[in-house]
Amino acid sequence: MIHVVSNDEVAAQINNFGEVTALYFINESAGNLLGEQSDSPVHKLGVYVDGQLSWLDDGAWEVSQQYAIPTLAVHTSAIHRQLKIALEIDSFIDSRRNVFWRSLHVINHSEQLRTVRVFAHQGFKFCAPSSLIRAEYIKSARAIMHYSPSVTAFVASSHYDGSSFDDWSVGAYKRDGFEGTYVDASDGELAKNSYESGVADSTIRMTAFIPGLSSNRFTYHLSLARTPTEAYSLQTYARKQGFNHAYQATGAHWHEWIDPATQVIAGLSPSLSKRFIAYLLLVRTHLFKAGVVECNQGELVYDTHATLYSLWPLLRLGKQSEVQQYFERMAKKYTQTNQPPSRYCDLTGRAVDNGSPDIDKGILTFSNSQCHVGGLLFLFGQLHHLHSHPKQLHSIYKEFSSPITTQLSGMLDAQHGKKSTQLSSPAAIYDLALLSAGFASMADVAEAFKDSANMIAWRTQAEALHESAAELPFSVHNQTEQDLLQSAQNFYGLFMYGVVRANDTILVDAASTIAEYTGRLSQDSPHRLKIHCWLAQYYIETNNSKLATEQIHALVRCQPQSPSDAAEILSTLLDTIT
Amino acid sequence: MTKHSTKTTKLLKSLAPKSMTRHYKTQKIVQSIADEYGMVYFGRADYQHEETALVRGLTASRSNSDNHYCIGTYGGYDVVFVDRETTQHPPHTQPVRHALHMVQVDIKSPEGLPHIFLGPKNHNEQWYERVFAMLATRHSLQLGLSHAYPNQFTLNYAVYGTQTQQPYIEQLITPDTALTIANHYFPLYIELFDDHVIVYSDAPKLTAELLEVLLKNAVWLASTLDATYNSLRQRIG
Repeated sequence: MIHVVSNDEVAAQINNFGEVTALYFINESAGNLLGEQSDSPVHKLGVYVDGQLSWLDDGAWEVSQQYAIPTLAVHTSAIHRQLKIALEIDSFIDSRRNVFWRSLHVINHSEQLRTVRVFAHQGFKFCAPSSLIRAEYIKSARAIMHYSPSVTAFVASSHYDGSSFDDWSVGAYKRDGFEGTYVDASDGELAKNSYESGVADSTIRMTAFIPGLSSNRFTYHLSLARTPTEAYSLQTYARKQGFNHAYQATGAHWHEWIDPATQVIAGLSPSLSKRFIAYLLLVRTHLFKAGVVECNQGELVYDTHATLYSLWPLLRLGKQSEVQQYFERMAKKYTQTNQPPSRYCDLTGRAVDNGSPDIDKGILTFSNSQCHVGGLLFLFGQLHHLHSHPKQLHSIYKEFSSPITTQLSGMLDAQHGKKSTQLSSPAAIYDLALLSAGFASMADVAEAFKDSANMIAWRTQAEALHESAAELPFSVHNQTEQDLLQSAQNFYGLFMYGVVRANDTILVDAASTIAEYTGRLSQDSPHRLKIHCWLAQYYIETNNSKLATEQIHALVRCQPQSPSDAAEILSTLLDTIT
Repeated sequence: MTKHSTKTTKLLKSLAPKSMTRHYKTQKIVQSIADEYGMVYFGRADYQHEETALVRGLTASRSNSDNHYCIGTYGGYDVVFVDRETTQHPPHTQPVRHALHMVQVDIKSPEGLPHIFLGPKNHNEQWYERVFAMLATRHSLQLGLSHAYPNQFTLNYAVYGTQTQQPYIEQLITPDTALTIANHYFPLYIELFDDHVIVYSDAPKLTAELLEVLLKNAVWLASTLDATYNSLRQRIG
């Protein structure tokens, strides 16, 4: 699983080896600072001992990873049995400063005193013309500066005695016959080159003399800012503050964020509570200002559907401000573009083509991928329903929710009669149910805001969609895992949005068939988790606590692969206590 | 009262002898200071054909009424003065009207400044957040991460900015600069925005002394920030 660490402005993607594979400065339209191409640098870590260098990704290390709670840090343990060296890495982003921190704990498993050199490599393409970027060793800062006109990064390290890295190199990256500075580290030494213009990388070396069966620690910090002087100030502050202070402050920040949720889930067993908190933090670390990100072909992209899944449990936990901020951001974007949000966007806000374009020649056309807008409207209705001061949402209603609902309604009216062909996906029942729920929800909001014309129009639309969903034939298919997932999704749409009464025979039978087929899936099937969640929610809804418990036991054995997986578990566990 | 009659009342008020006398008195003061400092007096700023306001920052809006606008150079810096009437629309409350005397100075540092607002503490925090809606996205910062700040400053001024930029803000607003602000600026507002330093006052009446203080203080702060920036930049090389 790809791990993400973030605060509201900076996010880093960490791979299975503890390497940074993407770094985003979310407020800037810069995309992945490491570069968007497949040959973009990965921020590697390596150890040189007994005359041998080994990078964490060279296959010789046994690596395990998990999130540390509540710092939202990724803890990576790596052991190299042949070299008798272990490395424990805690990577996180300071909750209040744009600094990516790593603690590097080096353990000498040999009985001999050894000189251990730890190498950290980093490179940036900045998505900027190569003539405008450079890397440079800054002596006064004891740091490497990677510069672009819009973002500057300072890289530095510290030992507990206050010393900094003891060797470095800056050079061309994958051009002019150069592979990258990390190649220089093969003999344990670096070239001390101090300047390179164009696409460049850098490698720094930290050295410790570690007695047998003992360990030592380094810290690494990467400070990001818009300008060199700001980045310099930040790195100076980070060095002075130190890792421990940043770690504790960040832990305290997230602990405070979690605290209200711990009161809501007081009824859960201790083991479920622990998982709940872990999944809640997993969702939070993927929640950026413009929504929730998921990993799509190695890149982080905003996924509106994942955002809906993720914001729903947050809203139920009282995190109104996160949901409101999301809609404020959507409203701002909508007033600029007059287009509904795309299902997928990259981190600069550009729509990402997912094979079914939402916009055809500048005219909005209805497609299955547009159904997420229905979900968006449903969530807005729920926000309005649960908000302590619902009148505060009037401007979002006026600028975003109302026009987008009217736009969607107009589109459906224009294509009246084509609904069955337009919505011919295997999950059409779910899509229609979601759209219906969105319109019904918005009709309630319109009523609260005394917008009677829209209220009537949207309620009529909701009823028509509800009927269409009910008319579509429903059966459970299991030819492939995907078929089963889509059948389960339709089943979920039918009961969750009230298309069919929960205790109707068709749903009772479908639940047991889906449960039976799901039991036959392999334990590592990526679809198990969501299906167990939906079945558990169904059995909770129908007061069948025995079967609900069975499904919950099954789902906690699944490992969430994405924030939307984690969010679905949160929703299910919340159903058990509310 | 209808909208029409409200407009009429406003128009009549602005044409009232008392209001007109005040306008001409202010014009006289601004013109005399403009003459003394080699600035050019233009009178009313017309935003019909302008892209952006002459003086920017939190109070900038195309609906502002900017008067007695004059520009010039002082102490080697480009300066602008305006008398601004602005209506802020805080969310969920009634609009608030303000009359402000403002001096804006362009700094020379090429990188621009983080957006910082220094508000005298004779208004409480809620007042700022209500009046300056933009401050809702800024935090009231407790300075002191990198240096100790003089009590006179922390008692008299609230500093608004983003938490992520606080280390940089503390490098720019050093304790010495803060002490000078505490001793010589209170109760003026200070805003750093992009490449501008804006110093302003909400005093009911503009006097020649106040205008000179605004002008000199704004230029002093701009030159101090430029010097601080240059010293930081030299450390990077």
